[in-house]
Amino acid sequence: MNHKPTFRDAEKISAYLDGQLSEAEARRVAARLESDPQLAEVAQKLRQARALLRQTPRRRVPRNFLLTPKIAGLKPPVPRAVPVFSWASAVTLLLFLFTLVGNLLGSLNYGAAAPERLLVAAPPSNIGGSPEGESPKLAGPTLQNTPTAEAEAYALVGPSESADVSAQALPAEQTQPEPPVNPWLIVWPALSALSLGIAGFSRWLSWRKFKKQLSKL
Amino acid sequence: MDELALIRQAQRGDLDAFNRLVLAYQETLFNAALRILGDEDLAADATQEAFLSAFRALNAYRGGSFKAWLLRTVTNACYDELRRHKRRPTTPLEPDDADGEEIESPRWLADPGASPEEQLDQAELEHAIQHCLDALPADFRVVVVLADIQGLDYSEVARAVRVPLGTIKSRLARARLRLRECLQAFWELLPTAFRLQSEDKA
Repeated sequence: MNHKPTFRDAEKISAYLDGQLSEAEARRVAARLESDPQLAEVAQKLRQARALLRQTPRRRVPRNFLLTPKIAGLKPPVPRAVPVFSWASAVTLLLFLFTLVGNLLGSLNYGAAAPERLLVAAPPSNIGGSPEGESPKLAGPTLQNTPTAEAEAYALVGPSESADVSAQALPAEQTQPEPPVNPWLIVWPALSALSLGIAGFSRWLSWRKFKKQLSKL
Repeated sequence: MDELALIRQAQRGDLDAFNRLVLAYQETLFNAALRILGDEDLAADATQEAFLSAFRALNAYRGGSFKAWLLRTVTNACYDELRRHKRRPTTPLEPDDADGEEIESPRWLADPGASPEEQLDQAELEHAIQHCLDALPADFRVVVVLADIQGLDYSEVARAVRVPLGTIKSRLARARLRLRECLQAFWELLPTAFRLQSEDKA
């Protein structure tokens, strides 16, 4: 007995018209359409709607929708070398700072150690005036351990002036020549600047090539 | 050059290759947007936006129908336009002349290869279809435009609108029934040729 078609029936018929049902389901729907005029009417309506929609006239485009580099937001490609040199620049800069800080700390340590040595080196100047037996053990090993600065000072001033050794020791230490500048303090910034320069130059070359390509469009 | 080669070039940032794809598909995308939005200016904006989005997201394309992929981007752009212009009145399909009278067969509808009678018939059919499409809720309209006007299959439509296949079947059936009911009012007015064709195809 035929019943009033439901929306579920219409949905099945619609999918059947589009070939979206399984083989078994499609056979069942086809059989029902044969035997049920109400369902056949629904199928007819769906077919007509579909056929009319397929005849919808196509409009011509009002303009072209081509993308320009500006609309597309294109930027010149970054050459592979640029990131490498940029990182190299950053690394060398870090090494430079590391070396610089290392040098500063080194000189601070040196500055802190100097008075200690002076204090220890002081007893010889007071040998004459100091009571005998006053920590000779201390003076002995201390002198042996006296850094080379004093020894060099002796050597520089020569034996003729070494009579008042203790008097000369202090100025000699104070006027000692500046330690030589760490060469890395020059090498690191130079490498950093070179890497940065290469990165910048590569980028500029790439930008120039990109501009040339754009002008051809 | 074949389509896939152009897509690969465009994926590497070649704008020239992408623009060749634009020329090939701009009419399809514009017509889909026009039927969904019912307004030429909005459809043009959506089409431009869709191509821009497509170019930016081209690396996400992993094969399959490129037309379906592009129609998905234009569908998204249409939804954006619908949200943006929800409260803004749209331009009617038939523009008015200087006296405010409706121009029945606008110049931009004209098919240069068709006779004046055929052009008039086409304009009437388009008017009827667009009128009935506009009466549908947007979600139903999108599905029927993609499936029946643009010819996508159910799975492609489902991917485009991001809803399950069952929902597509249901929306399409309901949209077709509503359209048929709406077109019934135009049935006698529709050119005989179209009526006969639809009867034949039915």
